[in-house]
Amino acid sequence: MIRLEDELKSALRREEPSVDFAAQVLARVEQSQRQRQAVRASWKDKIGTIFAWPRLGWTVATAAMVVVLVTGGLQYRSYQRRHAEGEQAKEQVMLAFHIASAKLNVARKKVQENSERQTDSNTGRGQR
Amino acid sequence: MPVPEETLARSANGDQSAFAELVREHQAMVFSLAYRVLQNRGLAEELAQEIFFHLYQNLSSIQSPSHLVFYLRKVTMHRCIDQTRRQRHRPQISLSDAPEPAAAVTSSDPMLAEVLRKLVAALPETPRMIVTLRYQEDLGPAEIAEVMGLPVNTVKSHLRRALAILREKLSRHTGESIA
Repeated sequence: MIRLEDELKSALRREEPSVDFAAQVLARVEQSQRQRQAVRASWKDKIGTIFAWPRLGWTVATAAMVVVLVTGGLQYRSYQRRHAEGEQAKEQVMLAFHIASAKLNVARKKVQENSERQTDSNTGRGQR
Repeated sequence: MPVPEETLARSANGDQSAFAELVREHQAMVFSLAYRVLQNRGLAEELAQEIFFHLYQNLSSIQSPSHLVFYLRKVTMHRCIDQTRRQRHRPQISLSDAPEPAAAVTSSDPMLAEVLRKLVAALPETPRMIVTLRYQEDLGPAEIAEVMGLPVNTVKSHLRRALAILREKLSRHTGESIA
């Protein structure tokens, strides 16, 4: 009698791959590491070569400085203009207050004179 | 036997000789699983190499030697499923249509193992994987279910049905009763 499960265990025993299997896996790992290093190095080189040229380095630095100065100057001019506009608006408001105040004083004086005149006429009638 | 914890730690730290030791320890398992499923030695070696390469890139996620074995079995099975889906040139044969060996064999016949391997190879993908994990790797249904991501009862029923078919086909050829 054949015992199927025992026969299956025997038939399906693990088999070894080719003798250089582990070496091939390691070669693949090393190749991928080399590729990664090469990519990293090429990026470093590209960035490095830009600054390795002395003239180009100075040009880039000068251009950056010009950009900073121009931007700063423009910002300052814009600030000054806004400040002057604010001062002008303030003066206009103050002038408006002065005019309004003068008009109110005139009106108040007239009301006061009228009321004094009325009081005087009422007093005269009473004495009579 | 799983590799020592120390070998695993050294591999994770980039020690290539430790990683080579780890590959040598598990190469038979990974290769045989792939070979039984794919039925192509070259393809199985290629896939096994890819699996170890993938392992090298993910060594930091392996927590223990037993986790490593589980990881390798699981990744192998999933890669084999992907591969067979991509391939699909291998004709799918139902269990009952599996080819029968040309010559009659007996239990002491050295051909018996070869006949059994052919019968297993003719099984459809899922039962073939389950039978391989059961008898090559000596895993129980619960462990197989975990590796394959299937319910335990599904694994058990596949296994029962596959064994019944194998028993029937083998008995027809040997003329002997199969236990």
